[in-house]
Amino acid sequence: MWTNSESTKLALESYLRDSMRVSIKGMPPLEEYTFSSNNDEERLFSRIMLTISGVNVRLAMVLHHPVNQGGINLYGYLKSVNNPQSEEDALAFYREMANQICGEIKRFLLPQFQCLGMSTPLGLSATTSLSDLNHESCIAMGNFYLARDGKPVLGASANLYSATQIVLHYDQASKVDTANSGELEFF
Amino acid sequence: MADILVVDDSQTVRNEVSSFLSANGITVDTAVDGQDGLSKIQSNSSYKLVICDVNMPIMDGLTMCEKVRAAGKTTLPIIMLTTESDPSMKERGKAAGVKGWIIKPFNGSAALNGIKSLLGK
Repeated sequence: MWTNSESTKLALESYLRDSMRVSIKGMPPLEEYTFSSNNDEERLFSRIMLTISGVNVRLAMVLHHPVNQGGINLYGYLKSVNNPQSEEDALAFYREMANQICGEIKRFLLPQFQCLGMSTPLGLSATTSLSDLNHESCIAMGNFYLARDGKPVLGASANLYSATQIVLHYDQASKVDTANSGELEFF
Repeated sequence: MADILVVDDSQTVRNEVSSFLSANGITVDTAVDGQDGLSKIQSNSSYKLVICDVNMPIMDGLTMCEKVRAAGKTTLPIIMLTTESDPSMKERGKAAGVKGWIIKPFNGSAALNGIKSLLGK
């Protein structure tokens, strides 16, 4: 059931773009990286998935992060870690980045859907490919990645599933307010 | 004898928050999920504040908060540090006795005064 309406695809890619920017806020400037929204590249990445689920909708967000030394190097760059060596630290960093990206996407969905829950990060196995996510109830998909020298270095994709027709909207103004992110709100 | 217990399944967040607070003279202990946090709170009365994630495996942060209150620790301040901005989630937090809410990413300098006030510093 691939409808993938242009507005929903654009909305998903806008959510991913804005959410990735929020998740890397406070990290070194990324002038040398180019934000692009083409398809991500297979096989160079490992994947971390989170889901957002509601009564009649489910969204699977997958962060595609580099592996081995490439993953450690990018982690070191983004976190300003000198001589990064720990693959465990890099993976923990990417898991939290995926968590924050998904949390940001949920803020876009909250004005459009009720009763949304969000999962914890799940590492996908090396044999899991994007095609496994594109089963028949997937109604739309969007991709977004950071590129360096024309090659993707970090990407995110979002697959939207529903038994009913859904059209997503991108409206920065209607997103649940994030102006006070990081500040302590007392009850 | 730590001032604050930080409960988060993310090693990155535990390290970031602990490092920031330690650099500001605040002693920190950590727990990896709500069950671990509950166990440490029940066995350690020195904590003056708990900073806790919402979405975690095994036991989520709001359930942990409810269990802490049900166990009689009604005055221990608990604040949530989470990606969740869902108003209904905040309402559940208020009902569970949560004292405050911080939306990730953690911004230490923005939250420090509030944290210190809860610690009485």
